[in-house]
Amino acid sequence: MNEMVSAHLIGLSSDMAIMSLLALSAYLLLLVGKVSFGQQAFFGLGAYASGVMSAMFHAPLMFALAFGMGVGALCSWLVALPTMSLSGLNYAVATLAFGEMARVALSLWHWQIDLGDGLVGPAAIDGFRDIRWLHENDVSPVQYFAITVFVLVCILILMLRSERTRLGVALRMTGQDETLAATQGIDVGRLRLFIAAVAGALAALGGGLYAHRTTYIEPAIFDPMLGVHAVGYALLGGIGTALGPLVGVLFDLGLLDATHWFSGWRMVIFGGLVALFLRWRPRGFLDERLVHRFGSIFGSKGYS
Amino acid sequence: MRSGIVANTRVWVVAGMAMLVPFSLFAQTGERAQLGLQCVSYGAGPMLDCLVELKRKDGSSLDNAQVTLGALMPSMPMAHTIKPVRATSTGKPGQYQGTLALEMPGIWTVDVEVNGPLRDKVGQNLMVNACKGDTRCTAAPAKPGEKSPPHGHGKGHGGS
Amino acid sequence: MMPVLQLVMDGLMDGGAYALIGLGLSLTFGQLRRLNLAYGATAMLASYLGAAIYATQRVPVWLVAVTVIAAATLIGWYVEWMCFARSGQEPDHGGASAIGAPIAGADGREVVALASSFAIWMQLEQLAVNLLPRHLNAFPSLAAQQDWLIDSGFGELMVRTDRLLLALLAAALILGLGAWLERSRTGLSWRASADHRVAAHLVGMPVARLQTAAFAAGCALSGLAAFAVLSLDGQVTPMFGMWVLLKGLVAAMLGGLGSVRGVLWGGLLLGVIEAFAQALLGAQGREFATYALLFLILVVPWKPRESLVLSAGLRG
Repeated sequence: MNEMVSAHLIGLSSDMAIMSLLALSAYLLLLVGKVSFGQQAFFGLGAYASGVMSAMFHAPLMFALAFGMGVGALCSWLVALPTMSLSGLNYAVATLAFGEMARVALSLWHWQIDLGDGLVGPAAIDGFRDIRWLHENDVSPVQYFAITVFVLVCILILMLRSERTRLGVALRMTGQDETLAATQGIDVGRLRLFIAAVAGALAALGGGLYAHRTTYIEPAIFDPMLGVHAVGYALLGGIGTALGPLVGVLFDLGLLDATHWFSGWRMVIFGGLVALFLRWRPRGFLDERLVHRFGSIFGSKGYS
Repeated sequence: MRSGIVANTRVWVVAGMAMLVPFSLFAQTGERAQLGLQCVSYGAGPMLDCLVELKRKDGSSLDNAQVTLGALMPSMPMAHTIKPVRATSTGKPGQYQGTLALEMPGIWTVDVEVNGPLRDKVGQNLMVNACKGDTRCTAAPAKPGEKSPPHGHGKGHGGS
Repeated sequence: MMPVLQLVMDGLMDGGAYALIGLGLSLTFGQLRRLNLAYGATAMLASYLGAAIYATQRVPVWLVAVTVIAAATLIGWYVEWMCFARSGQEPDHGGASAIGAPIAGADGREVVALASSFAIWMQLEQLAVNLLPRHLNAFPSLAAQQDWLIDSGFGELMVRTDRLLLALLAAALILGLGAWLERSRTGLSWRASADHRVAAHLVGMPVARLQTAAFAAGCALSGLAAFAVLSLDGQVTPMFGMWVLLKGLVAAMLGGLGSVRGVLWGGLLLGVIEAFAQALLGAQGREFATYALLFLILVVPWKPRESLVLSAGLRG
């Protein structure tokens, strides 16, 4: 029985790491002041793209994931071109619309090839099965968990380090006040497009990891609720640091869901907390003030 | 995270790259398992009792395999976590049985992971309904398309 | 020619339902300048309450309708209190005062309210599913048993009487509400408090109460629309909330958010476009067309963009 418990924990932790990537993707856009309800689209596109690479063309895992990231970055950049200049409200609705367009498009896409062992590939609304790279290469769940966590940690280190760089500061400035940021010499338009591409790549990376973990993906998974949850994790956990979205994920998937103590009330509690935080602690739990106060813990010596 | 560790990013990256090299090997095809899955729901939860039949590609039954049952809900993939359950052999060749404790009725993807003579993972979408009283209800295979809104307009012209 | 006419007919009748659904959303946006993402979930939870009551006690259909509308109003009051109550109470400073907000910038407050409303959307959806866990839930059915066959010059046109009635009801309600907003004193006070908060407050109008009243009216309308649509289907599923939100949003945006009569044209147009999209591209194609339409409205720089300018208020 202990074996099942540890298998359960490994699976749960892998899921939390994957969801953290999606939450980080939403977080990046929140930094520049945009609420996006479409990140689940890039999650889905990344899942399909890396699945196609590894299951249909037998590409190695890392290459498949990188390809997925590229697809995510490109699509996100393309979507950002017309939408980034919209007001916050219109941007949110536009990304929601795009997210649904992507989902419906995936449920129409049928491309299967015969690899001798049956047909493999996206089967429109029936989804994409048999993404079995992990099984074919004898990668155990523990090993895959290690990969997933390693990837997440690398991304986090990159993001935490870049907080103190000119890029990180420029991002937060743009989020606070675009006009003021522009007067400081920041090319707001290009910066936002760049960050949209990065956010798309992150979401796609999460999607690719998810596809290989579950071996079966279908368009129904990538619905707006997924993207809404990602934004919720970032808003609740805090947007003062890249660790904030992780706190949100840990709270919802780790505490509220996995413990089953709040069975049937998870979204009621989570949603209620997000709404309350938005009223009284708008920048989330790990907001800039908290980060500044405990700056040494997060590797910075505080703002001088 | 102290600044010392963070500062040695380059060391981390190199170490990680070294770790990842084995996973860059090209994929080799492994043997597939053929799956027959029948589940019935009962009781509160609901509970899902599943009978799994495993065969190799050539038709022979797959005995003495390590079979694990899991489930996830496609509508909220990473929530509603269910403890995976080890399926036990029923005695018949290639047949295993396990019971999952689900969180709520609806469309679930039940997946069967085989870690025995061969490694595989196969899943199936099932519509799990809450069954009243002592009865047991069959969980029928569900098309993912059932998730799209069935409000009137798909009914076409005429008919009620 | 015949199939085209039939498509247009079907589209117009579906469009009437969409217009009714979008009405409440447009109204609340016009009044508060805030988009209520919990709109669909409000309608869904209210409908689920109605379905639950219908299932457990065999109540008459009109009582279910009253329950749904009353529930929607109460839930709307909760949503307004949680998300929109402080809307516009502080004068809009623009970016400078927004250090505390997660979304800064001139429209920061609108987006914060939007974000709160999606959090409440999650809450309401969970509550609804807790109430009735099954996928398909029975709803009192008022569907017509027969269709009309109208002999037009080009052949027989099939008309579903129940949908026709719904579309006509929607049109009458919308036009009536639009006229009321334009002509009556209360309608005038609603529009005044929407357009010029401070001035309205200065002349003694109870602005906060007016806004709450308008919001409650919007949610009551959502309950009415939900009941009307569901009674023709005879069932309600957990997908209903998202469906209401998305269809209502497209219908309202097509006609101009905040314009009551506009939502009628928007809904009808949406219905017709969907009918043709379904005929040409199938059911999934129709879905795609709806979202693509919404995306294009927002992204393409149309000339009369007043619908998307946040300063546009409540219009009849």
